[in-house]
Amino acid sequence: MQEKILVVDDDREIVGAIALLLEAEGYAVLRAYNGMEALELAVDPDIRLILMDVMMPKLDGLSAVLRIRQVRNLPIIVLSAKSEDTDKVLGLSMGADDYVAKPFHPQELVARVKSQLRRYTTLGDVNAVQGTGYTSGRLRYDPDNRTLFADGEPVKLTATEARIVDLLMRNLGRIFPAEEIYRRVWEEETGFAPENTVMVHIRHIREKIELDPREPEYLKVVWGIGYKMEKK
Amino acid sequence: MDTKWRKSKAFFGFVSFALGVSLVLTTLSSVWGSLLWGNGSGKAMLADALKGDFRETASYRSYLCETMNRFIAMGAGGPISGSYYDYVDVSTEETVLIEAVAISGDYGREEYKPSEKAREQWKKEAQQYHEAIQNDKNILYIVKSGDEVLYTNLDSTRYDHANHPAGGYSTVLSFADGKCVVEVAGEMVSIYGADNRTPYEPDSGQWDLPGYVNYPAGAETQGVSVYMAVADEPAYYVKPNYAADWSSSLRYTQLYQLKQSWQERRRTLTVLWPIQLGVGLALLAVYVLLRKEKPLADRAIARVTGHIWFELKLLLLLGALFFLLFPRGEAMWSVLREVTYTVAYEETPLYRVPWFLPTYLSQIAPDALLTAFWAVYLFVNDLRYGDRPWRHGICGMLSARWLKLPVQKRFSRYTGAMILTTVVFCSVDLVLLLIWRATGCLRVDFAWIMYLCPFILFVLNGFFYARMKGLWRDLGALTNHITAVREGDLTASLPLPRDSDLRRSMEELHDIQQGMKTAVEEQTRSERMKVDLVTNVSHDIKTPLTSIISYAELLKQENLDPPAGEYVDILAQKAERLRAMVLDVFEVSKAASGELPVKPERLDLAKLLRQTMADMQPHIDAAPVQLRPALPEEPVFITADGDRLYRVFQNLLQNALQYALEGSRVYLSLAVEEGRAVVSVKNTSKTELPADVDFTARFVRGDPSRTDGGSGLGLAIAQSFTQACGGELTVAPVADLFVVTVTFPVEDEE
Repeated sequence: MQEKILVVDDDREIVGAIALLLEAEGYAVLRAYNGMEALELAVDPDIRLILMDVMMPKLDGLSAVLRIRQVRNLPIIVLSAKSEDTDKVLGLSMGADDYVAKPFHPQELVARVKSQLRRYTTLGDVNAVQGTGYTSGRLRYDPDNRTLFADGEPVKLTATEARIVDLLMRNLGRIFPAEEIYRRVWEEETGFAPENTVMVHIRHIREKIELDPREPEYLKVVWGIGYKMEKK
Repeated sequence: MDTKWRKSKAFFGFVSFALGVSLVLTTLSSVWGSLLWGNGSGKAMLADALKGDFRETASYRSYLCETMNRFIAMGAGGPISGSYYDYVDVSTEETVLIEAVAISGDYGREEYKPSEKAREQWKKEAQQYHEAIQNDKNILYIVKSGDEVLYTNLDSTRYDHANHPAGGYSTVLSFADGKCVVEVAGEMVSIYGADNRTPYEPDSGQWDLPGYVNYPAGAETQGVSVYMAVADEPAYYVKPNYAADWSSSLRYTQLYQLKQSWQERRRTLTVLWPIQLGVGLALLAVYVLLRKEKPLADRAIARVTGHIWFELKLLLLLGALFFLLFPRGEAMWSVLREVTYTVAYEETPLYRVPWFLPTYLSQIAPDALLTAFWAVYLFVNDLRYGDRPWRHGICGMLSARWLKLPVQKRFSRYTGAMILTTVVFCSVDLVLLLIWRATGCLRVDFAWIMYLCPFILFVLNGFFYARMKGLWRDLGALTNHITAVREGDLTASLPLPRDSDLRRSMEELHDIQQGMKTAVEEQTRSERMKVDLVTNVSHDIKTPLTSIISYAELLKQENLDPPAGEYVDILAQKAERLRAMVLDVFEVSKAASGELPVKPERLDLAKLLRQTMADMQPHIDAAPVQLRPALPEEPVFITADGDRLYRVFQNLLQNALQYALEGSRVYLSLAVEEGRAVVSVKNTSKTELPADVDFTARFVRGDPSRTDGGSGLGLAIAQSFTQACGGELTVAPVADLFVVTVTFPVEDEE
């Protein structure tokens, strides 16, 4: 059965474009053009995910999210042309699961939709698994098997990447200078240009775990200090 | 409430301190003075006062001995007081009463033999003395020569050591055959020692009576015997003479008065001084408990004393110390004598200091000590808690070093000079007047005018001084205000009082200030409006842009035939650039309006640059130029927002890589110069750099006609972010060399 996604935006062309993108990925798309319509359609139990614009006539996106949250537990991604941090925080605090700023990259949007759906559907057991290993948002690390899961899917890592991930996931939120990462992962004294070496691997890891490697959410550089895995 | 309580604590603390110190000082100086008084006699007097029984005191004993010696002299027919010299007629310088002088003795001593006339005189005096004291029943006496009773105030002459008068006469002294016998309360006192061989030594506490081995009674006392009974409780005896003059009646009270004064001294020593000292120490204890609050009172006092000119205070202090140095007239002269003697005759003047120091110290009156103490206390307190009190005075005015403005200094110095001149003239005038008055050269009728003139001058001076001071203070305030306004402080309020002469100027300045404030507010508002406009516009652009990007992507997925496919790629590319530009415009307008949020933290700038290079490695590798970094090994700590700073250097490096001449080198260096971390990015431009262009202005690019790449906002963003983080960014192209320098203050090592 196709998974149904509700797309809400007052700009019909955007809704159309998103629908086309998602249908190409094999999802069924329901369309709504304002908050009220969204509320009416959201009762469909087959809907697995909602993409919601913020600025809309009749009922704005955030209010709609609030109302839907009262009756349904499903992932909601907020779309907004406002890209300021405060708007993002507001959206997430209203009950949205993710936030995508316009103008977005189509691939990024699709990746986020997939990520949310995986966590929602195949990872209904996400809470059950949380007890073991280290979890941060979409990421879960199983230290016994040295396996990193992104949205429940195991990530294929090289040996060096796995060691870096092991170090960072075990110490979520802690900032490691490149020299320390180098010493603990390569188990030898700092070689030539550790920043470069470490950064190359970090870039590779990001491509595997981040939805938008250019705007990483988890594996972050703390400029002038070191690197860390964000704790969410 | 709390401050009120603190204030009263401070008050009581200070009062306790003041009274306590005064009492303790008074008592100590009294004790000190008594101890040192009269070269040892003060000490003896204190020792007497400490004795419980009057009859054990030295003064009692010496009085008895003196009386006994006088009786012996009366018995021998000698003078009862004074010396031979008292009987020399000074006017003729002849011995009137004494004859046969200058019989050379064993030691070349002159000896005198009294004349008959003298004997008559002395006898008359002895009779007068006897008549005067016979009513004093404190001492009962019988003076005999042989069997003849010469003088007595007793009814019977049969008294001896076996038979004393009744009514409390238990101390008896007698003299017979050149020896004295003392009986106290029925017991004989061995005055000459056990074997009668003990010699007499002055100041040893022995009875000062003849009969010692080295102190024999002379031949003239042969046959003289004296009996003397002393009352146990001396009483007051008066014999008025109503026939003549009762008010100047004879009062026979010597022993009684001796006892009275002894009792007085005893009371002072055992009651008054301990109470004074005790109360003083108790008050000091109270002060110790409240000492934390006392500085409050000290400050209050310093505030009051701060109003007095420093020179006056100095004068008062010296006066008080002078008072201490020369406590009483007599002592002053004795000290002066000692000092001049010392200077004149002694090689080392300090040699004699121990000799006159006790005399001097004993003469310091408690009030002088107290005055000196409080003068010093107030002076030191003023220096300690006052607001630099030496500034307030004539010398302070003349110096005027702490006044900031030249005009203030000039005002101050002129005023100071004026007052100093007045003081000097008035002083000279008054001294001259006094001299004239003393010598009588000036007619008294006009003198008062001459006195009044300097006084009026002085008062006027004081008045003008107050005005002038206010004027130069206001001038300073006005100038400070101008400086504040110039430096952009638009909120400073009017510091001048309403009645100031400069009030008008100040108000006008205030108006200018208000105008500037309004203008700045206006500017801020318009800046904000600009940001709002940019925000709205960028929002309006973003929505259609989303569609463009999305449909371009969809078109790409259609796998169109060659020319169309390429067009779509171009569309997608340009849409992406438009997106980057919109985001850049938004950020730069926010940064320009100062609304960019920054999270400053301590970070290593060298590491940040290395990270930035590592992050951009793919770009760097792909660029047709080489990057030559020169970064220090050791960390360079600054405080900045790492994310923003990364954007700064990312932009700078991107610019450099993009616009550098192909095959040339881009130099990135970091150095610490004079406490600032200096990062510079240098590249040789591909094209000729236009002169006189502000590269950091928005939308400015090296080549105005260039259309590929960049929004033209890279440097603007870099500069805005650098400034938001507290650094400086400057662009200084030299010919084709494009140099961007970013500096930050270096954090000290922790």
